[in-house]
Amino acid sequence: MEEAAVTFTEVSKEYPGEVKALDGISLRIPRGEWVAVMGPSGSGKTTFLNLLDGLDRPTSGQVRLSGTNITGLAPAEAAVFRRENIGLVFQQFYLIPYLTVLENVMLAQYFHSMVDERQAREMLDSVGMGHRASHLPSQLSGGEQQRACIARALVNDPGIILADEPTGNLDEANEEKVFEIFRELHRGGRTIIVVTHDRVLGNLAQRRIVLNHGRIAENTYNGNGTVECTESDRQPTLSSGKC
Amino acid sequence: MLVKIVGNSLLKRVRITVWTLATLSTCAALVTLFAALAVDAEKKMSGSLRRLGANAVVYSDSEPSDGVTEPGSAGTSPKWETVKESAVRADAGVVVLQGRVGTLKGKPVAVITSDPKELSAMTPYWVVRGRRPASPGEGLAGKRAAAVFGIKEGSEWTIRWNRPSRESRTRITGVFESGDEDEDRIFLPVSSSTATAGAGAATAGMPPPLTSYALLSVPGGEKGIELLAERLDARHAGVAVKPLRQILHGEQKTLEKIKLLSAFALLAVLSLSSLGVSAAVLARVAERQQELALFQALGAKRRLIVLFLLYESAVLGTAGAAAGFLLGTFLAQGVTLRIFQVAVTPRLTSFLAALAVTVGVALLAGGAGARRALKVEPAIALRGE
Repeated sequence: MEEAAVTFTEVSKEYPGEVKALDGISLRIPRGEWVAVMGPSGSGKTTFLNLLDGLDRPTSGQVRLSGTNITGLAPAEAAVFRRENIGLVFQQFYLIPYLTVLENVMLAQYFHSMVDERQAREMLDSVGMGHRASHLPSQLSGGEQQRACIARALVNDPGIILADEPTGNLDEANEEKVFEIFRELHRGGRTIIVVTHDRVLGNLAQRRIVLNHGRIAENTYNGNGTVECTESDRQPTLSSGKC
Repeated sequence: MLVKIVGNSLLKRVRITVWTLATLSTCAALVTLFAALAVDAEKKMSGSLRRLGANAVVYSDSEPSDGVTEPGSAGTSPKWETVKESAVRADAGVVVLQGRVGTLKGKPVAVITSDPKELSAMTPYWVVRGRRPASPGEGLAGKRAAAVFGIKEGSEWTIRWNRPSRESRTRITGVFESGDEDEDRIFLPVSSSTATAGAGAATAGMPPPLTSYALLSVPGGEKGIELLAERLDARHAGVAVKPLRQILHGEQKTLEKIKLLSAFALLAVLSLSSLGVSAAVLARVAERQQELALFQALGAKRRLIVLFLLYESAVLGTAGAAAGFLLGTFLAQGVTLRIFQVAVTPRLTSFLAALAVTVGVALLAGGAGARRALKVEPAIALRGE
């Protein structure tokens, strides 16, 4: 069996004084798959993503990325793993306001290994932002900032892209540009996991996982209705598209 | 890249950078001020204390030292011009005094002649009722002499001399209190050259002096006095120098107390400045929790983030030290000019002290800020919670 890009095994996350943000989730995401994680607010989507990127740790269970159990990594090891394997795209973009777009992209290179301006410019060109390289984030529109954020996420050539509401702050025209970038990344064979409320983006993905109260409520492959249910009985079904 | 990040972070976050720099510069300025005062204080204060009176007495080396206070037989003539010249070279104050005995109302009275300006400079602690004499024909009476003879300021008196049989008319312009034996005497002004002319020289209407001595105000404490004595000895001035140890000891004690007070003040100021700097640096870090969380999300190790914050603090500390040194030197000039009437020289040691303290405080605060920043989970910071 091919090694999965992501494997969740009985993963729970409980915050002090709160209900469980994630409750015993198990799932497997093969390499190169484009998955949309959806669900209402408070369903555990962001927690799911934070456990994937190693910024947070599960209360119980195991998260494996590309075969590495990231729940067992020390913070410094998690940082190294993250910069080698994961590209992060944020809803709020989180571009450093006092660095230019190019420098923001080079920042990820700097934390990874060494800066390469030519490569950073190429990455900006690939998302249609080459002409804005020397601008500060405050001089960009939301869509441009998101594309710069995506360029930063891609510059170290990560195998997995994790995106948290990448179109949440964008208008329709910019949304379409971002969709196109994701399509291109998927065609390039990258594993993409997108947390989103956006139904269009959810439908564009290969597979849609709907969370509710920290559990997988729906796990659907778009187009053919294939479902892998792992919520309560941990047994996959191939029938209705609902667990 | 780190240089670029730090540079841009400082230059493009003007408000917080200016605020942090202001606190650091204040810290550096105070360190510079106190360092300058500490380095120069002893010299300047010693000089200042020297204006409070004599710390050595010079008398003829053939005359017993107690002959100063009780003028007796005249010794060999000391070279007072040489004494004055050497004293001026040593930056010391000097007044040459000549002692005679006259009679007033038929009773003997000790009469001292000296240059009035030099005497005034050497006896600023005298409390004078009336005024000091300024010209020949005027005089100043000690409090006890005034009581014995019933002298009041503004009154005119005739002092009679036995050998030769002459008299001097004098108008007493003031009565002084000194707290010592000078209160038994009457002081008459003569020109500086007359005062240093020696025992054989006669002053208008007066017999030759029975004794001559000089009061010195030498900077540099006992060492300074010893040095001057050696110089006078080498020049065969015919004098002996005797330090007034009680005064020197008092000066030393005063200087020690002032230095201790300065040290406490510096400590207090440094503590307060450190608190201010820490608050500014911590505010700077707190404002950037999301940014630091992003750095971690992008794969920066905690160590690198600490290094980044320390580097930024060091840059701010160095800039603050440079600005503070200029400000502190300016303040030190103002303080020393006002208090000691002397300007201080900017010193490398002051700058190094300011640099070490300011960068040290900035690094400590930056380290504390980094520690606090890294306690916040990046996931939480990036959620904006």
